[in-house]
Amino acid sequence: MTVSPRAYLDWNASAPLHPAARDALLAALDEFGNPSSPHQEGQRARGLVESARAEVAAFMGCDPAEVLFTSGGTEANNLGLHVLAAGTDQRSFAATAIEHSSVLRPLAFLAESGWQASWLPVGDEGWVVWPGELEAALGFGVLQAANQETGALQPLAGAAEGWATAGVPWHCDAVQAWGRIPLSVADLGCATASLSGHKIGAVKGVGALFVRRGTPRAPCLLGGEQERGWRAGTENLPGIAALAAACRTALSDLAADAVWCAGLRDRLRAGALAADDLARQNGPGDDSQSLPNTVNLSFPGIPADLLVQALDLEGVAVSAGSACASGAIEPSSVLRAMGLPEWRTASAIRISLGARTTAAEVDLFLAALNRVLDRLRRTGP
Amino acid sequence: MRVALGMSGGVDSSAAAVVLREQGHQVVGFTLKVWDSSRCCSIEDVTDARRVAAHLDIPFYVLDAREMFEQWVVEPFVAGYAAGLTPNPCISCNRRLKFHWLLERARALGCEAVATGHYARLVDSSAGRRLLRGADRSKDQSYFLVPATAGGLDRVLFPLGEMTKEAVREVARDAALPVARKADSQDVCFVPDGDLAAFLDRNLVARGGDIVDGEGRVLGHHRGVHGFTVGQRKGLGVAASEPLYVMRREPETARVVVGPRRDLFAPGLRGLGASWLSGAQTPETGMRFRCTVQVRSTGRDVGCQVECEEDRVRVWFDEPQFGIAPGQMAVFYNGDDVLGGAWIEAPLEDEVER
Repeated sequence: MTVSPRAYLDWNASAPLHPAARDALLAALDEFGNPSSPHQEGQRARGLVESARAEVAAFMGCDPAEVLFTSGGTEANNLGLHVLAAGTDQRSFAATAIEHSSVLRPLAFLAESGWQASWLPVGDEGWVVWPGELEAALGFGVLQAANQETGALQPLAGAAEGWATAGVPWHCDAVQAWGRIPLSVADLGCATASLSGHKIGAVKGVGALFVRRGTPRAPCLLGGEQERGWRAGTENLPGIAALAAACRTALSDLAADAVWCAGLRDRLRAGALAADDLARQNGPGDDSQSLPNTVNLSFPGIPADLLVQALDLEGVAVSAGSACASGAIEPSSVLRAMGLPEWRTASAIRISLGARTTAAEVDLFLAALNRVLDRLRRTGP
Repeated sequence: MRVALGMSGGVDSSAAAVVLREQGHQVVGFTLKVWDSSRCCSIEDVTDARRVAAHLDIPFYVLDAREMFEQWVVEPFVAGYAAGLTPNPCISCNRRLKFHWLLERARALGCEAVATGHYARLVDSSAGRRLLRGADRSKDQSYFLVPATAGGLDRVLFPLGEMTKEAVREVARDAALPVARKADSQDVCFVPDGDLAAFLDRNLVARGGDIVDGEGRVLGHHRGVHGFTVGQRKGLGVAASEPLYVMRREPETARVVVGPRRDLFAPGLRGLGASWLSGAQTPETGMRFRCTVQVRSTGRDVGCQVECEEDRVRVWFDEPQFGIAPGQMAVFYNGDDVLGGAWIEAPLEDEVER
């Protein structure tokens, strides 16, 4: 592609590798020992894994013994739900339709296997509406920390209080929230919580699952005693080292990053809404109830996949809806679950920023958006 | 200029990307997802197209065209079969999707033209741009491009038109395309395994009926007229003193009419919905002219005389033609020049219709 420079505004899909994570990754590439081996090569590798575990635990707000390394957010969500499902006699769960597919698909599998599903309602600003009263005898609950498409922060305090006090274990998919808002599993009171490496500047193929101490062991992958028997398989040493470095930076930079993102977000949103009189923001109207890095905007009359492609050809990477197996873009199920009308769901794009997004990238986006909108006014969408 | 290229994951459209790029165009690749499981847009083929795009470093997008394809290609195809016609879905797909829907999408993305890997040539002349058969006569696909290109040839490109298949494969090999050795696809893309009868069985309510001869004598029975095509000889399940062929299907009476080979030769055809390419002169009502006509996608063209009346045509062949199938396209040529085409309504019964 000849267009340059480009603006990468799709950090919720994947964040660029953080320099600190790169350094840690490169250093770990030469640690070839198997962490399970008794010799000194193995011990060095094992030491790396365990010191990484301590850093990830500090970031998540738990003990190192409560952190399991996984292959990423999807495995962490699958394993978390598997653990909760295995640990209850009540074949029922409560969840919402705006969860990520790595949560929804395992839940659908349970529902198909005869589990009772109770779907919590979702308001038109993208929040789960926390029920006043809990249904008795619930097997487990599920609630994401922040929504992947709208950035809406979910009523975690309600879940923490409601579910935790009722003794219902729950899983928190916190993949989109880490590094963007202050978050600690100690406050959440959840039984399990997921973390994805590449969303916070580490690499793809690594993630972590918090599992509260005392939770009965229920592994998905069998075949070894790694991760204390919770997850068999030789550890992804470079990935784990990169994850720890990303967690360390995210922890120290969190406040500054959030302010930086919010400033760029405001500038971007104001410019985008000014570019099209019909444009509307989807998600929370109150910025304090949203991730500081995520904006979801509808440009009525313009199919979302067309806008994403047009912006891409102008040098700007954003996203819309979800991709099917072939890569075609399907309308957002999150926005539909929020009850938004077709004209808004069909034309919604997600713009997500990161700590290293620049003002120049935001300006590049706004210039590209204006060019694209001008052309579409002439050609029709 | 920025050009949208329809990419199937096959050798032809992949090589077309190379040729366009060598011509200095900025290529944007598209695959239309038209069907949930089909050969032309299976995940493997989409992946192949994606690999080629990545190899050539060109942007590539998959477009969800399922609804359009269902509405404009599959439904008319199935309905046509049910009505006793032999429709050509590739012609509808070119017309409605590739050179209309994709073209509009491409323009919205700042592309000035749509290109495909079809074997057909575009030549500029004083009369405007003309469509010609592909230089490789054995691969020529101009038949499929009428009426898709009747709306205009200014925004289409066929970068392989001047090339032979061998040259195209060479381009693919020289560019080290990952699909250089891939076999050509066959069959209707949305019909699994090429089993058309099974596909129609699933999509049509079958109504059994009689197999009759030209005089209406019942020779046998069938389980649905859609299981037959004009000119078919095998699988009739009818014993006769001479080989019998399907002459026509009559859905309203659920009859399949068969006859000996000689009865399948027609002296001409009636056509409707004629469209003429911009570079060719649009014939006026009452006008008669000589040209050649090709009545199916495979096969040769034959000399003929055409008479026009608004968008209807009457065609007399220089020599009788076998198995004229209503619903197919009759495409008119002058040498290699594509003049236009019309949907075949029926074969002419005899010379007297002249």
